[in-house]
Amino acid sequence: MMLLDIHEPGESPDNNKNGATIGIDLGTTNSLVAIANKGVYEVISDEDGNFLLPSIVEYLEDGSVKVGDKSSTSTSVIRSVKRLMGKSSDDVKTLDENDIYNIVEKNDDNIIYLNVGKKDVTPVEVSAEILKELKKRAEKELSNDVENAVITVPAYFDDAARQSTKDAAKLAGIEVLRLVNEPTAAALCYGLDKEAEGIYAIYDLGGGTFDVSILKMEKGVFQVIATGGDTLLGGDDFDNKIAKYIIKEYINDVELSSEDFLKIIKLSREIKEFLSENASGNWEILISDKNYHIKFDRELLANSVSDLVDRTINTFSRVLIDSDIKRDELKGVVLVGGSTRMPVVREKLNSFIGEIIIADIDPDKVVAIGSAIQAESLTQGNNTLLIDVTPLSLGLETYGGLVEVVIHRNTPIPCSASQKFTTFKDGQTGLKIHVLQGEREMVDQCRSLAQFDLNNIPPMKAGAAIIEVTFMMDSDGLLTVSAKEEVTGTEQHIEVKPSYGLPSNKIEEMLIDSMNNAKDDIMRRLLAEAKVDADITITAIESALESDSDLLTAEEYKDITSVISDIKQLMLGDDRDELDIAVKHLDKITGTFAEKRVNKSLGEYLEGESVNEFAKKL
Amino acid sequence: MLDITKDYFDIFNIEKKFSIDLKFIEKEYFSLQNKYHPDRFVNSDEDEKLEAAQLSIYINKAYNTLKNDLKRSEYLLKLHNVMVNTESNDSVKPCPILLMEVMEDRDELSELESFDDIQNFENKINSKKEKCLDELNKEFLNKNYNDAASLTIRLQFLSKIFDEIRLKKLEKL
Repeated sequence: MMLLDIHEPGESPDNNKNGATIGIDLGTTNSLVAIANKGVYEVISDEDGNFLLPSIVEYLEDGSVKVGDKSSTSTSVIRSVKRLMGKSSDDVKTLDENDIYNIVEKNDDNIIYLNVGKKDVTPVEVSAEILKELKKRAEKELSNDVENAVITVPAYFDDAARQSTKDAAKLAGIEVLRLVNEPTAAALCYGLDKEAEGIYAIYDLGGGTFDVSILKMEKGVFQVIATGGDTLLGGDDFDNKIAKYIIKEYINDVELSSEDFLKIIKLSREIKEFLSENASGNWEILISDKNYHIKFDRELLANSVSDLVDRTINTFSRVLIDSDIKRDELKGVVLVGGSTRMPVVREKLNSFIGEIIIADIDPDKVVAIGSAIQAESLTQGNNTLLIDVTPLSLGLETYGGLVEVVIHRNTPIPCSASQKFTTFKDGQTGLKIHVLQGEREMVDQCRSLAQFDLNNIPPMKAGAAIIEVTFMMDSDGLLTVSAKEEVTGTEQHIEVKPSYGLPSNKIEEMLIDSMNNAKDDIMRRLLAEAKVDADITITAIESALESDSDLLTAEEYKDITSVISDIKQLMLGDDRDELDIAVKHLDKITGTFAEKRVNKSLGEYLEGESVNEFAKKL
Repeated sequence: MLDITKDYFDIFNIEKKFSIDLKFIEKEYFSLQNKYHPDRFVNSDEDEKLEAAQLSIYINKAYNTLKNDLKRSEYLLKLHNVMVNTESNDSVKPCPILLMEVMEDRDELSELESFDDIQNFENKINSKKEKCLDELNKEFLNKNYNDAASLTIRLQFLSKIFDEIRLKKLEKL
């Protein structure tokens, strides 16, 4: 018998029957899906009551795919694929992770392929399998199709990783309502549950990434004040530290296969988790037919991972300084991510920030629930609002390879800002607009997002044309850049889709660099500026030499040209002091030349005009 | 609907004064964004969405200007047609005594090595700032906009020193 769906007029047949929407926490180690249904939020479990879906994808002999089986150790299994999202094969070469991932070398493109037996798959495809599984879970629970969702990503996921996540969702048949940062989602969940008000920090130490965000919460409105993080620091790194210790202290007498290595990593994770609840323990591991007996306690664990925890505290400290928030202004620090269960993490945080740690909502569930709240807000609407910020500064290339920031990082979105520029050369009719993202002062240290040309500028004297460049970022984080020449009204605009394929994991690296190298940057900027100044001086003098060399003696001419060629040499190097001295010298020896030229042109000008008339013009 | 031809003070329904109630502005900001943020218009048509985006951008700008002492002071002077520290001839310019003081402060900062010393220096600059804000408030109340402009220039230099302190602190981490 055919069953017909009958709907009331105005009732949408496709927008999940009960008005439910979903949020997905696509994690490095585990993934979850949560449903929002008329203000009720819950994480969905499988038949056995497990709400965590291990982010493990196994490609079976018969071509089918199995998701979430922790026990499998076959080589056609992929774990922690999130760490590869948005990365190019060049990126991973430096990561020393080939052993774990079975990466296939292909020369034709820069995309990562992972071998899973008979075929090779991309990280996007692997992530899509996890998403499909979660989608299935939600559909079963709702007895309805699920078409869209909010998916969470680490705050410091770069553009390429975000786009890869969207691609994976598309492959899984999910339209992304919005990608929301994990710590922000956690804040939504926490803030709504506790009706928290004030300034809070979210400390999110997940399987693969570390994020810290500062938020202001007030009656359902959540404003992100600042974010920072480390995309290459997470629970996996803690496991690796423990594994390294075990190999060094116990299993140092055999050659390890990649299966052995996986086994040791697995044991390391067990040890780490066990020691969150217990003070010490004993374990057995069989490697190359030999049984190793391993002893571990909390103190040993704390010592082997202490530098990693210190790194998170350091990042936390940077974000606070950067956002000008004092430690005592924080009302609480919300812990997110399984790794925050480790006592050593809590101890170090306590001594850094005081006893204001909040961990009363399951750190595994909090992100998924927050994403469901945001999904509901973006579809049905609810009483929460999230005001997000730009994670990195956006700017333009200016003369000399310098970056002029137009929108500073941590500016609330939507936002717009404009900057005025002018032409550098006489008669210049075009201007290249190069949009960059990053915190450094030089173009080659930032990430290039887009380039376009503004043409048909009427030829004018250098500096006469005024070009206004406007950046606008909408609440989805999409950037539009437009350029307008004010005299003629010539206009160009471009929607900036982030460019991919560039070496990734740049974002946090760029940020850390910018902080570490602030001084270095200033020196580089000064050098670049000195070069620009030198260039302008030389250009002016060369053009003067062309028209008025008759005013100089042969010796003067020779002196000037020889200093100019010295300066040109110095401009290729990086000694700013030498360059400054040379330019000052050039200024000095061309002083009389300039005077003679002024007198000459004054003489030309005065012919046929009375002195009085001339004076009026001054 | 909100009128974006209004100035920032009107947006928040407050008097055009230098001294403001930050807590009140923050509450207003949140409630305005709650009303006009584009995410509140996900099911509306394109025109409404665009209008909401413009309003939301304006509210963000207004809030970011008013909550910052320096930006608020510059903005208030702009509303009274007083130019501060620009290239223009009728602009109020920094006085030599201030420039000397700034140079001395910078020299002092550049020689500091320990985190605590930097913190003490920051406290010192902070009390200078507090004093400057008090005076600024007085001059605005007495409508002495030229004096307010000179104090605003002082505030500009102080805020630059704060930036340098921040960089130096990050360096020392």
